[in-house]
Amino acid sequence: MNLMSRFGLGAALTLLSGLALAAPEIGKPAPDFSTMTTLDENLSMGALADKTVVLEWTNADCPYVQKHYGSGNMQSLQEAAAADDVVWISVISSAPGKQGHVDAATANALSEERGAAPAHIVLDPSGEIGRLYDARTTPHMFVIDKGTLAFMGGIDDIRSANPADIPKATNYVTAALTAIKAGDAVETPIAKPYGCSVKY
Amino acid sequence: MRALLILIAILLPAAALAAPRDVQSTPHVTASLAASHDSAAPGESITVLLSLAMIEGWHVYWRNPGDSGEATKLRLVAGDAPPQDAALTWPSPHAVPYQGLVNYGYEGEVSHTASITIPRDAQAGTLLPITAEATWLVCEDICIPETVTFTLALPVGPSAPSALMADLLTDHAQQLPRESPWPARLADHGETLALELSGTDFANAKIEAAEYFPGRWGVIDHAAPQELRRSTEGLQLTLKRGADALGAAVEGVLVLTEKSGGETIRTGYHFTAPVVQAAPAASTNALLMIGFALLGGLILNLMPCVFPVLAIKALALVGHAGDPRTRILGGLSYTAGVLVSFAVLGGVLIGFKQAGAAVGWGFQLQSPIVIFALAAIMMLVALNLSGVYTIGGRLMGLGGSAGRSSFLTGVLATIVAAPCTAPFMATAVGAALIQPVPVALLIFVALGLGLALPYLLLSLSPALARALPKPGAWMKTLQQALAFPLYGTAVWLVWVLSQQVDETATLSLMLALVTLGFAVWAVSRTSRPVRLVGGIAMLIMLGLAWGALRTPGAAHSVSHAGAEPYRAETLKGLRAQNRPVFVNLTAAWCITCKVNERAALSSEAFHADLAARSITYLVGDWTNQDPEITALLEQHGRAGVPLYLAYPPDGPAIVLPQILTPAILRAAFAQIAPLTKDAQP
Repeated sequence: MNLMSRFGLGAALTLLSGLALAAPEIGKPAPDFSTMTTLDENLSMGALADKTVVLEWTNADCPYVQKHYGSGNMQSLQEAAAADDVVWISVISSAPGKQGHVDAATANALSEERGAAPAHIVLDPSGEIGRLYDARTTPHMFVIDKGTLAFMGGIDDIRSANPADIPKATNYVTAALTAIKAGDAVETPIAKPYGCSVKY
Repeated sequence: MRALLILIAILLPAAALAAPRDVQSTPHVTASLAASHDSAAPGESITVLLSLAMIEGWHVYWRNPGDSGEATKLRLVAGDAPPQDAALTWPSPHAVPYQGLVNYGYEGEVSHTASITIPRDAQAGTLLPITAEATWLVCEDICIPETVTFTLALPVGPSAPSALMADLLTDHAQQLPRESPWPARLADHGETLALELSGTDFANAKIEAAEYFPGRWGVIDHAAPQELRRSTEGLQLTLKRGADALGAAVEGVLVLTEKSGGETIRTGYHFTAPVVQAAPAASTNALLMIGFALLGGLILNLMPCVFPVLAIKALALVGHAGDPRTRILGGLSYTAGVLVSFAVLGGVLIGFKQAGAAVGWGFQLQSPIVIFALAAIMMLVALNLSGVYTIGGRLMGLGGSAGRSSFLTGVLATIVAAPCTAPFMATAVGAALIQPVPVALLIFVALGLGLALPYLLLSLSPALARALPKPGAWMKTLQQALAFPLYGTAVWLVWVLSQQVDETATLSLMLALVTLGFAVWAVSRTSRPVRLVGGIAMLIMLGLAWGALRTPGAAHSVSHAGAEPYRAETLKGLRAQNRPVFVNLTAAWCITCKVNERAALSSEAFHADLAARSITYLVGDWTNQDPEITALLEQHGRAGVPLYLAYPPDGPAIVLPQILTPAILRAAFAQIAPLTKDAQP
């Protein structure tokens, strides 16, 4: 793309993104979106402005996601979150034909099967929400505290597909939620995300 | 060759190699682990080579995998010792893009080495069991983590390195990044980062691509394009910052792909760059920069090159003081001439930059052709002012149609301003070129407006015009006096030229300038035969200039002390006498050659070793593509430099690797020539 058209495209994109930030930033308002969940309900980030929200990018066929679901780690995080009135949203941004792409019925069935307990599951086959948050891996976690982005990055600090590493690792999501509940600042607001790439 | 060697490492049955080896396969990767020694002593450290061959389209990852992925890991256990996570070596990575994300890794095949120490309590005569667990993530579209376990049985006994493994390990070492010889720093401009390397090797080099791979996540946005700019001072790569804090310094690898003859060389340079705070990139300061450009243009009027032109134009005004229409038309056409010239200049530079060429005002003036042309123009204008010829009189607006001649004078003023303002304009132009195109053009036009402004104001204002002194003989005197600053500029340009070409070429070009002077004088005479002589002189001048400038970029290459220039005859003669010879084929634009020269070929130890072994050192400078050197390259199946050949007294040359270390040279020299009996290494 030559400089001229790149300049033009850049200008256009900046204008189109409206109030939303071009890239998510810690301490700034989290990008807003409205969509339908797999249970045909309306979901809007604006409506959750007074809650703590966790966004989890997922892909059931990715070995790194399987590490956390197979071991029960993700499910227990989701249950703990629900108990604290934290809204957990699982987002599937795989494009049609790519690994992890499912329809609403399959997504709900998978969730049942695995004993997962997110508050909502969102399908994002166009990748719009994924790109809004610059989600790069599955899993990629975002914790939003009353509309402000408080954490983004990998789920823990051991970058592997080996379930045996989970007990040894520091879980960043748990740490962030604990800090928010206590009213403290999140110690590690940005962590290196790891996993399979999001299949846009 | 490298692929072949790795394949050999994997496919040869273990029995054929005395050094212990194990091969494991998964659906996507064939992997092998081999020890560097056939047997090793207790307490000795040996090397293991892990080779991975991926099926087509699949890749594994570098130590910083990029946006997603996982680096390869190796866990080694020697006998009863506790398991250790090996520190692997990492060949220069490639960027692997996927759907807007970018990972860093390897496609096809890759090898890594690690050290392992034989436990001190190992018994000689026994077999030491070594187990290694290798884990990697192999991906195409989808990703699959894989783990394999290797088992080696290493005989414990006297240390016996394996010769075949030594070749594979040398080959592996060639794939690793080398330590960068250039000072580097990372300038934090807020939104963007500028990685800056200082050195003179980049300006003339034929770099096809430059890619920076930081050692850890979060420093840069891996997917953002990296814009390369080169100048005589060094190289700059503009990067988009990543999500994490930068810290005090950033470690990583810069991979340069350079073109050498018909070959492409891809080399990684490893360095740690301190982070420095810099002014935010001036994307919001466009207006300020345009203002500065205007001011700069005004200052240009005072430069010794431009001032004469301005003064002559002002003199022309004196002649037309009473005629407002001519005066104003003259002023406007001059301004138009200047603005158009600057716009064209700006457009050309921007066009070059779009095409990816190394562009910058100062850089373009490194070309001897441009310098000579400017010197010739200075001479011509000065000779005209001195009255040597009068054809150009109209150009100066001392007669003829005000509109056209003023326009041309404007163009002339721009050209003539060029050399005097190089240091000043370099900054302005450099700053302009990183702006979006419309802003860059505006900056160039503002520069032009500043240059034209004084004369424009003079021509538009009747009051100022009236303030000029009355015409008189003083005009001629002033005109002749103004020629001298221009002569001075021409002399300075010749001095710059003398730094760029050799003494003979400098002499030819100086004579060409003199001949040019004679030619214009002769051509402007009324007598026909004299004009003819002038025409011939012009041709002679062109011939002299062409001869001297035919090989531009014949810059002084690295001085090769103690070396003879390579000639096929010389080599033949030395070989006939059974003398050992070391040949270094290099070029001024070859970065790999330059780095090798600095790292291994300039040291005292190197020269001492040559002397001690009575090896003759020949250097072939291929900067201007010498056919004899091309022949020698082709003889060894190569299409470009560098090529390092160590000739033993008889037998074929040993071809040394492209990345030289002092150790490689020492080993090669020891192989081709013994120490002469009374010499010390």
